[in-house]
Amino acid sequence: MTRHKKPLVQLKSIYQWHRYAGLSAALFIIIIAATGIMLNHSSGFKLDKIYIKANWLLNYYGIVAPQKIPSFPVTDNWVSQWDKQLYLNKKFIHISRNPIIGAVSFSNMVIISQQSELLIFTPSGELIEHVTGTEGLPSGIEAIGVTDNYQLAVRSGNGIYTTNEDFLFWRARPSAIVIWSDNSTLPASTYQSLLELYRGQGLKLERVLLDLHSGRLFGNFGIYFTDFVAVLIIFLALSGVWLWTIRTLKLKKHKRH
Amino acid sequence: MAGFSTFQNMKYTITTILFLIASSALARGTYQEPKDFLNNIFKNNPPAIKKMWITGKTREVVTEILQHKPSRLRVNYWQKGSRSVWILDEIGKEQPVTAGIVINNGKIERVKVLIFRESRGDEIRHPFFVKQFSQAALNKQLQLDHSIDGISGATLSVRALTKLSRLALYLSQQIKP
Repeated sequence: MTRHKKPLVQLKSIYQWHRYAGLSAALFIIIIAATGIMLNHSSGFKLDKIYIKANWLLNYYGIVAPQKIPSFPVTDNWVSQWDKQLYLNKKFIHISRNPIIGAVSFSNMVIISQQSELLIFTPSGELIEHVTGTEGLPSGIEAIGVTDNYQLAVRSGNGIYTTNEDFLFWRARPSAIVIWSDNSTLPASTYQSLLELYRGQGLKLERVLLDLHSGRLFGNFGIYFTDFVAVLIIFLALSGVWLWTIRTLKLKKHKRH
Repeated sequence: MAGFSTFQNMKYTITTILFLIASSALARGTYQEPKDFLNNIFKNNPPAIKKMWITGKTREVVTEILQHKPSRLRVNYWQKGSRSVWILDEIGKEQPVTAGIVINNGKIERVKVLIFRESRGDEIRHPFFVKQFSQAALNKQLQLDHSIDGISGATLSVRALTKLSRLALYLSQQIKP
């Protein structure tokens, strides 16, 4: 009698553990599977093009304003650089890897200067062209401005240079009187709008799903917890196979008798 | 022996990873400064820069060639007789590829990748590849009249360079010799 009872108790116990493990892991298995499917088709779902707007999540990821925001008043407008993003007022206009040095309005264009390149925009923020050393631009620009007789000027280590409206000829003008573009503080309302815009471009849905899938969204605890769920899944698979095998064998035995 | 084999495997894995990192870093680079390219083409006597506005009908055609709006409204070129030189940018996968293209009598004389910024696909800079563009012209469908063989693993870079070649040919048709 005892020889028959023991396996039944063991089987019942495995059934129970299988059931509890299944119930406990169900929600997490759904999350892991759903995020896995989405990540597998990341480009199809355009997950890398969708940006998170929720403030609490942006705060959670620590996406804050950059420490330095070079900002320059250009007549009634503002040019500013938030990391690599260039803005004309509240409009994103360009990606720039190099820091901007100044910006001026000249001949109905907005000219933004970097150390070795000028970016020329229309007043609405459309890029007209880049002007580089190939076009004769002096290198090592330290400042940009407009002279008292309305010529575009740059200052480099070698002195002051002015150019024509096509930016094709640069002439040394050591004694030119220039009003240089100066770094200033953005007006509070512009700063606030740009902060929202900048933060809105800081976190992709793909990143959040990846972190949710791996558990990293919840720090080290999340990673270990995901490991634990993975162990549960392995247990479920093994116990499921075990239970099915025992049951099939029993049924076969029962049929023989 | 097992320990030695594991050590060997690790060594190979690390070497492979280092090689991949190094090769991706080597892919990026300035192969020739645009200024030097111009000096080389015009034998140290480049003509003055000319500028072309990409507006109106030109903008429409350029958009068709690039399959997106042009990133700028004005491009520079250098012209001497029937020859014109164009230094143009187009994004491969994520970063722009800068190429110098020489057009002579409506046909490509030379294509050279000047600056490559992506981590992969720099094979397009090699002579065996750019040679294919030589003497190519633009047909009525704004396509090259030569077929260009691709390079596996550099599909987007090949596409970018092909677009730039078509663009240079089209823009050269808009100028007077």
